[in-house]
Amino acid sequence: MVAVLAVTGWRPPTKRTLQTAAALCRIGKITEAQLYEAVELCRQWQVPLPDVLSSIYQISSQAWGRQMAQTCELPFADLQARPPDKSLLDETSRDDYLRHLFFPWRREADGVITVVARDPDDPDIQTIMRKRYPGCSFEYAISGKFEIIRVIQSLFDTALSEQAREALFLRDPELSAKTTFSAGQRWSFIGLIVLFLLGLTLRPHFTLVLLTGLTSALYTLLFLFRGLLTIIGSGRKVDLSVGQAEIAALDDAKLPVFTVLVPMYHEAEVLPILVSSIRKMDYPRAKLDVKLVLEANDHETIDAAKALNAEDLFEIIRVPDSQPKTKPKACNYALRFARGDYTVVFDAEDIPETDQLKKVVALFRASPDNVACVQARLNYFNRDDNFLTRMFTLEYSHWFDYLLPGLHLLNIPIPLGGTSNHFRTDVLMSLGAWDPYNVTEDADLGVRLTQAGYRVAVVNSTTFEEANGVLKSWINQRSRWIKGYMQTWLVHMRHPVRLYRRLGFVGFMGFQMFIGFPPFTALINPVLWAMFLLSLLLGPRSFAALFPPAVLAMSLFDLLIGNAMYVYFNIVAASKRRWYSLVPWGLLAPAYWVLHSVAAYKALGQLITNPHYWEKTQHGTSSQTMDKVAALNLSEVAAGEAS
Amino acid sequence: MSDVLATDYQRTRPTISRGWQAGLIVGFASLIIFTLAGERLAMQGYIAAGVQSVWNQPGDNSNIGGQWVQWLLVAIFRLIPGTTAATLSVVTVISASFVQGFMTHDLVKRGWSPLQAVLAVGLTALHPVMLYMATNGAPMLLYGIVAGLVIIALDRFEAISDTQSLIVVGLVFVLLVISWPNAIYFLLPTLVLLPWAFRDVRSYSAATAVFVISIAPTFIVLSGLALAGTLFGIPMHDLLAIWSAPLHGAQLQIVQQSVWLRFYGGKPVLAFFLLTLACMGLMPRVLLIFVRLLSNRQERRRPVTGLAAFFLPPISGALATWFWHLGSIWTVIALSLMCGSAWAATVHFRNWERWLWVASIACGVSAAWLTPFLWFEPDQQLWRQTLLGW
Repeated sequence: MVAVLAVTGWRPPTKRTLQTAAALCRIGKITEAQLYEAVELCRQWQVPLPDVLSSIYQISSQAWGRQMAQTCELPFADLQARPPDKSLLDETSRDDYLRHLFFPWRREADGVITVVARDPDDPDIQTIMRKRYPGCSFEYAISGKFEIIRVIQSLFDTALSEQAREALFLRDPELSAKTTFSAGQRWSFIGLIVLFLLGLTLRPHFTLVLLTGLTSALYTLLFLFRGLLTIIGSGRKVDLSVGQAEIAALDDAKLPVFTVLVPMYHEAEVLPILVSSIRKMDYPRAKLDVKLVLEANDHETIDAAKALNAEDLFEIIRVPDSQPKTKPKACNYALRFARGDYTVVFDAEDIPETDQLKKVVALFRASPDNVACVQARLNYFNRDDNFLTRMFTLEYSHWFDYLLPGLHLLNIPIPLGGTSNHFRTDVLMSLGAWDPYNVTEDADLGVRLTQAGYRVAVVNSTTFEEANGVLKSWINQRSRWIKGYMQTWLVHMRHPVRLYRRLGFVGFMGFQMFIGFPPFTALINPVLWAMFLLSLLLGPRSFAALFPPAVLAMSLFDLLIGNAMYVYFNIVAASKRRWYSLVPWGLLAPAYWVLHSVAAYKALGQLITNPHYWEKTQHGTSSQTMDKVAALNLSEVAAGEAS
Repeated sequence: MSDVLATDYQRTRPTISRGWQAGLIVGFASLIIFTLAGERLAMQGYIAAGVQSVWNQPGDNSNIGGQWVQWLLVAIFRLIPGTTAATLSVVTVISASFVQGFMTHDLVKRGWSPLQAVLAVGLTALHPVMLYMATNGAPMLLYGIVAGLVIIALDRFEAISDTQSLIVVGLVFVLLVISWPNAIYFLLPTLVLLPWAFRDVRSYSAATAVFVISIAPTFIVLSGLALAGTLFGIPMHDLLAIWSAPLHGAQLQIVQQSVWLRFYGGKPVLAFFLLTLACMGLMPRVLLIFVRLLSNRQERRRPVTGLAAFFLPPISGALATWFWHLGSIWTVIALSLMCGSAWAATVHFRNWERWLWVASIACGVSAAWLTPFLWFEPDQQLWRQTLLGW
């Protein structure tokens, strides 16, 4: 099990720390009032003083380090010019290095080991070093927090990268999507195909009736299930999980450090949205451990991130180049550096509601220990862009506002949404985190959490994203989701009996209804539409004569009532958020289903030929997104000129 | 038995709440009353007009329109060997007794003393309209129950205004439309009240959404039935005729048999006043709605449910009269009875209001048996004659 880097036991600032802050005040980096305020906040939030200065007054980690070195009369370690002696560092102590922000830098000629640290007064550093190098003498050099983290990251990146890719597979290959089909599944599929062909050859009518009957029963079941979830989820009670009173009752000092992972790839254009969203968060900023997770070869985004000068807000994690190049692999890598008790994943263009983190903490505290994840609702800010964004918004509204709360109430595994899922970091790590080979790693993780006895709660807070309004990009994104659902279903159905035992009847059926059937229905829909058109051409009566009355009644129910009720669910979806202008668009849902089927066939092809390929979603395509970015850039320029 | 054991015994002894106790008493008492009355009617060979045709309906597509629930129920009962049209009386007797018991339980849950609840609901069982609905096997009881559900759904929507309550309203509308051929007369005025009941209506689009969400399930089900019919060769014209029949006047035979239609057919305003007066006279407890509207601030804040319970039955009756479709005012009185009961199940009465409710039921029961106005239709006269001999 990987240790969590959360720092426990806050200590008040030492004399030298206070002297350093005072020195910064003397040289004009901060005012006296700011100094007092920072010290007060440091005590109030119970976080290190340099973190407060960095997050509130933009005192960079390097500036703090240099001043600390000067105040303490210790050397400042230029880690770029003089990299550490690798022989002194051992991998087993990596988490200690990250937790206490230090590492043994070099051994002097006289045998004394120089330790680079942000805070030389941290007593734990001495304890760890004495234990690791008994009998040795130590000296200190100072460096900044992010400089230390960067060095540790670069020194261990090979091992960390390997862990990010293979940890889950090595731990439990049965739970990894690295292998798409198990041997049993391969033989089962071949057997079913042979049986189908034999049936068509020997008893075609019986086979046709049987398949139609089974499919109709499946659709009826699915429709009733979704109807039930919609009715349960439409109640006002499910929306009242955390209120303002609970948020107000939170004590800043007792709020935990929150790790925010923001994986990005070639998305430099939406970075200002992220920075603005994080700055607006109602949470002690020094308790935010924001990590911008970037691919090492994505120089464009790395440069854009550096140019923002938002070091006060986030650190950049460079993920070493390796296959598969997926978001879960990047998150797994970054998770090794997480210092928060809780960890959340946001996309770059996400705009979470400002009180989301506090609501999540309040909900975690009010929930039983087995609630390991809190999913926030997702929705779109650019819903009025075009047909696709409107339909996407209706779909997401139904999913997150109705179905997920319904699943939660019925204790059915919740397929987590791609972002805004907040985890207990220790539980996340103990489960092996995300599966880097699964392209809907979030849905898979939701099922694994439930199998392990944990629950997922849904919080009444929304993260607004950019809806994909470009057809080609939409199909790519949707094909990835459908492929991921197929992967997830295949992974967990390797041992259906075991899955049934772990999830129980309701959970098992919920898993089939939510993870297994949607890709299947998207694939089968065109066949059914073709059959319907054929029946119109041949004459419904002659076509109906082929089927027994029960199958016919069920098929007609699905065709006429079931489909229409699905349209109804789309219409209803908008009402909870009072987006009444979207109501008429719900009627166009059937056209949207056609696109689903196109994406499903693409997904099926990829599942066979290229299962781990990550279809990248193109962000920043909406005019509303670019307007937001432009507005943020303008306000930044204005603020710069004013200062 | 030691004290400790006695305490343990008391703690673990299975108990039935006072509400369920009262409910069981009233349910069984109603069952006895209804059964005795039903048996007497059956022994005398009485079968209400239309019951035999309800029993014969399955298989006759053109007569099913608007009565799918009955059609399904009858189809199921017909599977039982030896059943006849009289079986429907057994069904209504049991259903009415269950409704009575459940209503008693609900009243006790809402703060009524068991005595008050037993009196209020028990007296209702003696009301001729209730007795008629429970014993004659006709689908009027079903219409009444569904109308009561509309009032309860409307109250929930008015009180909570969430999407769930609106969906429930929509589903109750479906039930209404597929069980009652003349549902449109009840549905239309209810739709007018809907935006008023929705406290979040701040724009036309919100009001439109309320209509769309509440009506869409009905539209879907009716369209589905119509499309299924056309797929199997029933001309669209015939299907539309089924659903639009209530707006096209009743059959001449029905008009000729109905005293009410001969006097008031095609006169909605006059019919509305008379029906409102009839409801107030024969079911005076509905006047308590106005008492509460005048004396209770909470009721004034959410007036739609109460007003719907009071006005929907006479308005729907007046509309049906306008289109020559109200064969007897008994349907309106039955709706008023059920809507009034449903409304009572949504409010918390003060003690004096509860006693007033009980007293008004007693007055209503007496008035209903004695007022000639209720008894001018031949079918009801025959029913009373068969049951009581006068």
